[in-house]
Amino acid sequence: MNAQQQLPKAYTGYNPLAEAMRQGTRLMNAYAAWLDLSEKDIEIATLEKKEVMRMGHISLYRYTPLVEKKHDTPVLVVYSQIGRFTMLDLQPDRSLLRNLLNEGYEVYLIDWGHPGRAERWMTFEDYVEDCIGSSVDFMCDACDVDKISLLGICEGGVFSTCYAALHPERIKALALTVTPIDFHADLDAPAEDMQGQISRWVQKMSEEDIDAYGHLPGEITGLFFLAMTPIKSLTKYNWDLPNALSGKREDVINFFRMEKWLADRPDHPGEAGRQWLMNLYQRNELVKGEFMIGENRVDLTRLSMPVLNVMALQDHIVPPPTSRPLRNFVPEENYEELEFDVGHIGTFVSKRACRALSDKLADFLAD
Amino acid sequence: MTNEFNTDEWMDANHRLLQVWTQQTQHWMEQMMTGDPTAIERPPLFEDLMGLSGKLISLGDAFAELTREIWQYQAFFTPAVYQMWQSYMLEKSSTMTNDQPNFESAVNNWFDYANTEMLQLQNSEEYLAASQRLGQAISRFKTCQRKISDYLLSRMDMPTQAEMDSLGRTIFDLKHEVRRLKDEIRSLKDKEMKSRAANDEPPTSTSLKEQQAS
Repeated sequence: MNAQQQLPKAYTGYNPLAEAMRQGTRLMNAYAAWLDLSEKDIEIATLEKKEVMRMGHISLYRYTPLVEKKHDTPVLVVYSQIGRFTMLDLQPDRSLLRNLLNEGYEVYLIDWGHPGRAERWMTFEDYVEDCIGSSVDFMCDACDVDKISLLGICEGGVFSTCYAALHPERIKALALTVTPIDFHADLDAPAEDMQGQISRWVQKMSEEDIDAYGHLPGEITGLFFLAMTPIKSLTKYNWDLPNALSGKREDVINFFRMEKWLADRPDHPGEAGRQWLMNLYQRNELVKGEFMIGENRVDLTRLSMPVLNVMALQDHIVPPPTSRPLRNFVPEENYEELEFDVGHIGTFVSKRACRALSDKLADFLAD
Repeated sequence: MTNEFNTDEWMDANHRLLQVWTQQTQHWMEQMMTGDPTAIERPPLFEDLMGLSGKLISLGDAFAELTREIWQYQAFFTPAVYQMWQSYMLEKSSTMTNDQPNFESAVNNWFDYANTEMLQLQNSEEYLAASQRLGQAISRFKTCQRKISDYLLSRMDMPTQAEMDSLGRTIFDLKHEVRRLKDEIRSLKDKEMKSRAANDEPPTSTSLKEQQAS
């Protein structure tokens, strides 16, 4: 009973010619749809916005309202430096930002841009105190309020948590999505659950690895993510392609929009990367109350505002066990959790999850 | 045979470098003889050539190490994938029937199986150690590369990466310092406002300065 003997018996119904025709037809249809596309069709992040403040290569945007303002407290969206905020407005029917605007919120967003070698020494202190701090000051002045609401995503959630813990008097509500708090909580998760891989890999890294580059190259971060689904990443652009495209125009457009976002992966400034990997992933300082922003220690028990913690159950980049420990630091009456049965990105690009998340946020952030 | 060949190559390379240095010395002496006053500031240094050759040798070593680690990393996967295929066929053979749905779903099943197994493999200590060695080899190669580019830039009187990094660090340190001073001024102003409100006194222009000085 070996492999060669089993194959013919198993696939007696297989007709290679018919199979090739079927897949070929799909690819031809997809190709025809692709030929018909223009750059405009696959544009992402199309919502109108205005740059209201600039901090070096970093911009603060204010989104143009779509309906009459219904809430006094503006919302600041803080995305991760790993990846681009454009995913929050991937297309009109899957746009968290559009949904918030339609609910009458005044929405601001920090675009971390594409840091270069000159930003090598940019630290968490710069992200939190300078960039978020200046943005909060600007928004409070512009909207004539004392407090704003923060919506942090992934690493942006960590920036937001740090800011909110250091300046609780300036934050009305804190919403976190797929944000790691206890970076070691998934270290012992079984490999088949696809959790804890990043933690285990990062434990083997050294500071010299970051020094050699001066930053965390976006391509390498992307490779890490691809390696988390090793075989699926290998088959994505060949075997799985006919199914992904399926020949329908809308599917082809969605595919290219997603690819466009995936290809836009900025480098991460070296010093902040060192804090992210060494202080947080290796030494787990945030949950231990040892993480420092400049000269100030981040004490999570100072999160006195209402907190919404959103997790994705299929997330293998920030698994729920790493987010959940936040509940240990926030008073029960101020803390809410929300879970979606999707992956890390699915929280924002799955039509259903995006809608549900938007509705919950609209409720949670309401004055 | 290989050692002999390497020695010959090394001798040849050093002989050439020596020739370049001799020519440079000769050229420098000619400039000195013709009365070029700036020539004295630019004497040829034997260390310059040897420094570069040392860096090139380090780069060669790092490249060899990197190649070896890449091979070992790849060699780690090849037998593992073969074993995976064998165990998959053995496992599936007991459940296979003649009415297997179609070729596509069979291949998908194999990919799913391989993906899960590969994840197990990627979390094994052997794999983590191999990828750590590969990462270290890449870092060492990049560092050697940067040392050479820094060396060449400094020879051309251009700022090196290390100098630019140092400059960048100074700028960020200054930014932090400015921010701390701003915070300090803000808190002093707040204090001043509070004490003024408490005492209901007219503001004085000197009191803030006094507090800042203290």
